[in-house]
Amino acid sequence: MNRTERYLKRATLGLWGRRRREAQMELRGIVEDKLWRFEHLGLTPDEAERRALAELGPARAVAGGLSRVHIVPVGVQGALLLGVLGMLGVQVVASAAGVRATMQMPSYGKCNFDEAFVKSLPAQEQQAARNYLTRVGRSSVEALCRETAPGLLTYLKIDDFLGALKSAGVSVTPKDGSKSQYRYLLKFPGEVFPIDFDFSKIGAGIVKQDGDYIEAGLLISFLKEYFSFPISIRGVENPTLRISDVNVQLGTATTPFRAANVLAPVVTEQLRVDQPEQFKVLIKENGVDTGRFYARIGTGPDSGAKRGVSLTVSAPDNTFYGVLLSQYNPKAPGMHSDLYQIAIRPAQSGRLWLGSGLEPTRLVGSFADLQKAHTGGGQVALLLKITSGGDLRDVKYEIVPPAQVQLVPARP
Amino acid sequence: MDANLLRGHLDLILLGALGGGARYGSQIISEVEDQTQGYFQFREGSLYPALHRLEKQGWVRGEFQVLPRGGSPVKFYALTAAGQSELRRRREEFARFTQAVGTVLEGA
Repeated sequence: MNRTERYLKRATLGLWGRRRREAQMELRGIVEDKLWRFEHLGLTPDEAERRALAELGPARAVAGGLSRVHIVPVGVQGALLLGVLGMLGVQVVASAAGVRATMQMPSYGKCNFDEAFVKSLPAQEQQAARNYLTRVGRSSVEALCRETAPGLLTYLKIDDFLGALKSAGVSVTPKDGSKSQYRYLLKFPGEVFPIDFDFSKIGAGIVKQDGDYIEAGLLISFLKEYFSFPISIRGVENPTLRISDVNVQLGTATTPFRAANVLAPVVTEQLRVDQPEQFKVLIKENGVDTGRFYARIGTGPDSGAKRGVSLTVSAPDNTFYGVLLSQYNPKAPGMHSDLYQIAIRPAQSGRLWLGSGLEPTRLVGSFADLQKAHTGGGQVALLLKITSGGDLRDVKYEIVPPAQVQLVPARP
Repeated sequence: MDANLLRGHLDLILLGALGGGARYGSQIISEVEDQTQGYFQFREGSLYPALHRLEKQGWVRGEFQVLPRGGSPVKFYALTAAGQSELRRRREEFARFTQAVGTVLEGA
């Protein structure tokens, strides 16, 4: 481990999971920025590194400052303990009735880019979207969208979700005077302060059916951001979402919910943090490089059906795997050569069933190989075994060597 | 400069520095130092926790971006709408405070 890495490790002691990785990423960017500056001033790399770290100050001081900001409050430390008890099988708070779920194409996946769609975007993006549609032509953009539209996403009924929280002891109060009909104060058992939570901030994630539904992946992302509690999910079909010591069953017998579909965005976020170099694609706006990077990673939803291409694995039932695929579109190679797809699947009798549309021709054994194969075209896959789901902020995975997996083509 | 003065007004200084647009840590430091001709000198060890605190309060939003030189991304911070109102509120409060102190000193 080099000097900078040792410093980053010490400067983020006390943080854990995603917060720690992000703090390290931020500090690493600062150190590199200083290195670049000092080397241009004529310092040797070694001198530049020493000076850069000296400017940042003692690692212990940085760690102390960051811990004070991010440290877990005393009330939550109790919840962490309860979380451990939960893992041991002790049910602390009884779960309530299930949250009804529905699978739908998201509004952007319907590929109807009319003015209503543009107005559904954040205000600061609307004009850029209008300009893009005018420049490229709405019909061309819609056709392009249909080629790569994401699959169905899972939505959860907001009223059911709030009802389940209430039944589990959470105080749920609409926020007085709020312009948003979706803003609530959520006070968890044992906590002193309520959390101000606004479902409408989840962007275009709300759809209307027999009530308002929120996209499950976005909901989990927001819960992770708003709450400092441990959040975990257990089970495959109609799983239990555990927030602090509160359990909420997602899905019902008539409106089932599959955990894989909420784990996909969680694993995607983790991949972006862990492998920033692998998922960087320069974003252009009106043909001009913006300097921002973002590789699109679509989601292959899990329906539970045993069909399509499958992979043989040696693992107990319900062990989760992530299949990361390069998504090469031969009809628009220039436009979509940087799109990936991720499919989270539970092992079922030694098989992972990918379902329709996901048809890798071979497996690779590293992120670098996936990227190489990707730029060369064709659909290849990298198999990741999800090794820890203790907290959704700290999902761990390991690459499964291709030699340990057999790719079984779809039955005709 | 009395370090307590900086500590007491750190949030206002940071919010003010971000009032002109998104910046990353080193930019904030050099801009504040330039603008105040070196009067305010940050210790970086205290800057990043302070930025994280403002982010947690919802007053700034951080986003990783890669600089044109390449390499690891740096975290740019920008004021949120809540941060802009907070900046306005604190600016007014600070103006009232300095006016009040000025009045007392004039009478001394």
